[in-house]
Amino acid sequence: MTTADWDHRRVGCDALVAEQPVSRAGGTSTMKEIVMSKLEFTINDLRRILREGAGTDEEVDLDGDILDEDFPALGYDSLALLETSARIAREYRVELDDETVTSAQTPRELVGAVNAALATTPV
Amino acid sequence: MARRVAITGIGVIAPGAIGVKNFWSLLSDGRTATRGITFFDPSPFRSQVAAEADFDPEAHGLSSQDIRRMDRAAQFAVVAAHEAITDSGIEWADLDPHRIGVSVGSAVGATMSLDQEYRVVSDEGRLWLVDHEYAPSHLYQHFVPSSFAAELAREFDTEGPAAVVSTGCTSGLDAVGHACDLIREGSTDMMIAGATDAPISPITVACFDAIKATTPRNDDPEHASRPFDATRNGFVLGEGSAIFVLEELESARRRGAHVYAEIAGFATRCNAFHMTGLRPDGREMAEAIRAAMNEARVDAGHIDYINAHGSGTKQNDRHETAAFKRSLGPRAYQVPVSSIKSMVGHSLGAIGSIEIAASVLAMANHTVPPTANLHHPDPQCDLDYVPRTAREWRTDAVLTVGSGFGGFQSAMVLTRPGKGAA
Amino acid sequence: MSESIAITGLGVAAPNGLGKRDFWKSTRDGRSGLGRITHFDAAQYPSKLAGEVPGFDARSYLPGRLMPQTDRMTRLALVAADWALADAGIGPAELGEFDVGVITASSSGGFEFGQRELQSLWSKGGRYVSAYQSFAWFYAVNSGQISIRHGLRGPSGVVVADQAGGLDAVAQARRQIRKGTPVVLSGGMDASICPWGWVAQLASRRLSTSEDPESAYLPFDARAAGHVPGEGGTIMVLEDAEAARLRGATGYAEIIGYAATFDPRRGSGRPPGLERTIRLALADADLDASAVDVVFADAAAMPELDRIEAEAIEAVFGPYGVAVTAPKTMTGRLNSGGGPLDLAAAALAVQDGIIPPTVGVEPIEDYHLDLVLAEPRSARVRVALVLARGHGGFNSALIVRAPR
Repeated sequence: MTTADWDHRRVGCDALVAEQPVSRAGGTSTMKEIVMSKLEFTINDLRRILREGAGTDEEVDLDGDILDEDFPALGYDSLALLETSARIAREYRVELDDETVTSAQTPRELVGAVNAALATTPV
Repeated sequence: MARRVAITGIGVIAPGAIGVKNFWSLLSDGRTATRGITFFDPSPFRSQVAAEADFDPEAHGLSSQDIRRMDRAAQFAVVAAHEAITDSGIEWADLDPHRIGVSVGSAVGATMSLDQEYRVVSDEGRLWLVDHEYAPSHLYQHFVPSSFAAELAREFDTEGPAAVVSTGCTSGLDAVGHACDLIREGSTDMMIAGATDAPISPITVACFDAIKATTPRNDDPEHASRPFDATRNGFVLGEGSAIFVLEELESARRRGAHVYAEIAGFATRCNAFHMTGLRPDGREMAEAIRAAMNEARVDAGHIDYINAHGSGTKQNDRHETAAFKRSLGPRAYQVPVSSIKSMVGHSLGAIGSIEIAASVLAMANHTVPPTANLHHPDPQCDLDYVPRTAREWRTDAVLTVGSGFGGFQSAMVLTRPGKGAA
Repeated sequence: MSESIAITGLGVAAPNGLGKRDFWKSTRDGRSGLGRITHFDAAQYPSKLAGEVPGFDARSYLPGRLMPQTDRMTRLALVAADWALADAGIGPAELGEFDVGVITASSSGGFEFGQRELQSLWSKGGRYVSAYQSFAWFYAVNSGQISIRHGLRGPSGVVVADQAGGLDAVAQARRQIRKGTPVVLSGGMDASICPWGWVAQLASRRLSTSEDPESAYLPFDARAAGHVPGEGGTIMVLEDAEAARLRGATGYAEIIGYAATFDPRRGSGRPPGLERTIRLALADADLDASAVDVVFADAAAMPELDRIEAEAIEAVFGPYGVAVTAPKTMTGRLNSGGGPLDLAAAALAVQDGIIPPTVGVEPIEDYHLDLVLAEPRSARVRVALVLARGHGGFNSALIVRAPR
């Protein structure tokens, strides 16, 4: 698998993503979650959620200095990021819009986007 | 002399149209059958629109036992097959059951029944060790969707080869392609072939929500399916079935059958790229198109209408536009291309067969159905997509294509009887 | 192009052996893989035995990234496909871009994956459903994932015909090779031994309720009272036999005949389709019944179905006219994986001149079957017939012979 392939793959999957805001008539009513106090989302939180939701490839050291690595270089395609962001949204009770997720190219950008969303989410 | 395959009967269950006549009227009028989901409360979901069929199984002669036993998708297939056989004008009882087979496509099988039965046996998801005491006796038939082929074989008393083909969203093309193989090789003389799916159920809606593949255009459901339009943002889930009577061409002619079309060529390829993603260059679909034209012994200049996959996702519509240009060259700009998913939604495995039906009817009626809701073409989709209004157009050779999860890319060439290459 | 298709690589995952070597050693030795279910606590269910593939640690074979997006059946299929390609000594890179296809059978898809996501949906809500659910459970997933892993872009497909489907997929692969695709990976793999899959299988009312693994699945026996389900199957490499010979591969066996039929509906008065299926497959292979050295039986272990199969075999081959075996008594019935696993056993029987046994069975005398019991039988096996039947009336038959 070459990096070029990954880039194509990314373009392909990004294109699936809706570009308009969601008009939703209601939320899930059966969710039972612990309401969390305002907290910070860290790179270690992201590492954990990536491992749980999208797995890791053996040749990638997720514990290394990954903040500015491109997600494709870490082995994560758009589906992996959709799964990861869905898990973040559920666990941290934060709304991440489609743009936020798909425009983040690196862990640093995604962590920043999650914290920005947390800062504006009422507890 | 090589055996050839003719379509001699058609039956359709589609959103907004039960029966072939209503189906063609919907398509040629350019009406859309997409609406807010009514089968369940869609409010918890991101995408709340679908193309639902107003289907009353009892009105079509199914007994209460049939209705209890069969998933909605199987019911569609049986009713559509009755219409196809009646349409073929054949004296069914006179046929040799050994020489008739069944090939039915379905992407997601009995999903609707499985979703409903799971709720019960799991007590709304509470139990991991689900309770067998609450399972219906026909749960096994939902578990393995080859039951759809078995239902058709029993209903029409056939004893030739029977199978379900389940290649995701190309199932409807691939099942008919498989049926052609059986007739050509001489295993059967006649096939009940087509596809069915009834996926509009919470689990399906949720799984497409999770990857944002379906449109969230919930405030405007009638215009939610927008293939090739710059504002498209995902597909609209649909349901339905199209079933055909396929016959060996010479024997169909001998009995004086009305031959709608010859299935002149079919091919499928895999993109080996990604389970849901597509490479923008359309290479594998283009290869499938070339192989299908090769089998049909037609070249790009003969193709005069393309019935597109046109799902209305950002990447699909560019992918297949690229595939048409790559396989047909300049001809791609000269032929009308349209997507009926703009009107009847995307019924996953069924849609390939429903699109074969639309292609055949376009040929029969000298009219190309439009792509509804196309107002602002995507600059990267620069072919003639027949926006909004059907067009009078004589068609002797149609290309219809499909593309689906798993990477499957299929293409079929249908020709007017007597107009295909010898 | 020659008319016959060579089986040149085998990747096996069976309840009595992971990998071709372990499977074949156990099977020859009559060692069963049936036992009490370990994947979940089956105490509350009327049937408690299954054939589970032992010692399968997917992480040691597959990238971690594939774990969250695959059901157990897909992991088994991916590993079996790796093994089949290695066994065939063929690298897709040596072939043209569209020269290798993937055509597998499926029966219930990734059912355990599906159960988890259904549970998330109904207990917590739609937002909890995995981004991988849209494909991880569906019937086409194994063909798709195998093609992606090895870059196989040729004609691909997926056939569903319950337990008969595995042979039908191989036949479909044969058609594609005859039409010009040099190599096709084919076979089937199933693994629905999860509570939701178990309840669905119980509904068939064909599962044995015995708690003794030695006597739970006894086809052709007066005690026959249903089967034990298993998981696993075989993925195999199929090639045009002549092309395989040219690259120096002889293969295990060649596929020379196939047929499929569907039983007449109840009350038609017409006979069941199995005998006709066998005769059609023999005609397809251009063989006389006397050329067949062994029959791998479908072995439903439901009295009526056993009788139909015994009568079909007797009608075609005469009383005690051919060796018959059912090594699936050691693995259980694997649904879409069952036919391909029997085909692997048939190919290995041809190679080694050994017919594996049917374990635990005391056949009903009236069936007039020369059932290979207890001990493997050394025999010259030139031609083997494999039978498979699917729920509802599907019949398939496939014939292999020793490579020329």
